[in-house]
Amino acid sequence: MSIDLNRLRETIRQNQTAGDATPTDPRRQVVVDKEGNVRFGDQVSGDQPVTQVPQETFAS
Amino acid sequence: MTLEDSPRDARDRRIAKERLPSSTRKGRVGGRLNFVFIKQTQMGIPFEITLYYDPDEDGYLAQLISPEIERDWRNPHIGHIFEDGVICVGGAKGRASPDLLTAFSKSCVWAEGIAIMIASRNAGRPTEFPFSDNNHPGEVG
Repeated sequence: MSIDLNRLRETIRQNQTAGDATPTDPRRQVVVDKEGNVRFGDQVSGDQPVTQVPQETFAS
Repeated sequence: MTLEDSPRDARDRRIAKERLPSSTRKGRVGGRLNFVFIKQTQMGIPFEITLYYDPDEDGYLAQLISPEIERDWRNPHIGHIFEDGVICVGGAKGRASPDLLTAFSKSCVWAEGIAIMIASRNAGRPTEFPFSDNNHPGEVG
């Protein structure tokens, strides 16, 4: 499964603008699975171990 | 766990086994435990990245091994990578993440972003780093 990179950019930028680095809405969460694949929170099942990515800017 | 492992090392080995790519290589460089993994990006460009705890920076660093990033992009507000190859995974701290998995996950997103920059430049349509809203103006190139 691939990720929509345009949606990824828009989601991260919107969350940065809102100051919400760890949103609770799965549609706005960005996660990484064990193999390093980037996904949205609403694309993964509960039994799949993933890491939520803090979405603050990459440098202050 | 090995005889050299500190409690932190033992914990990180356990986390790495459970949560980092199965092909991750583990080893010591200068006494420091490193986790080296390959991140495949959607643009088809693979990245080799090492993760380690640096006590001097009080956190976990993600350092790019390959590919080479062009010099002009090695800037925290352009390619979001420092001159020494450390990726800006630390949020407000810049370089260091509070834990191994944050460094891993942010470096994967960074790789997707810099891969877009590389692919766009190669296609003659340079673009800024797509996943951070603090890029310097006029950075595209």
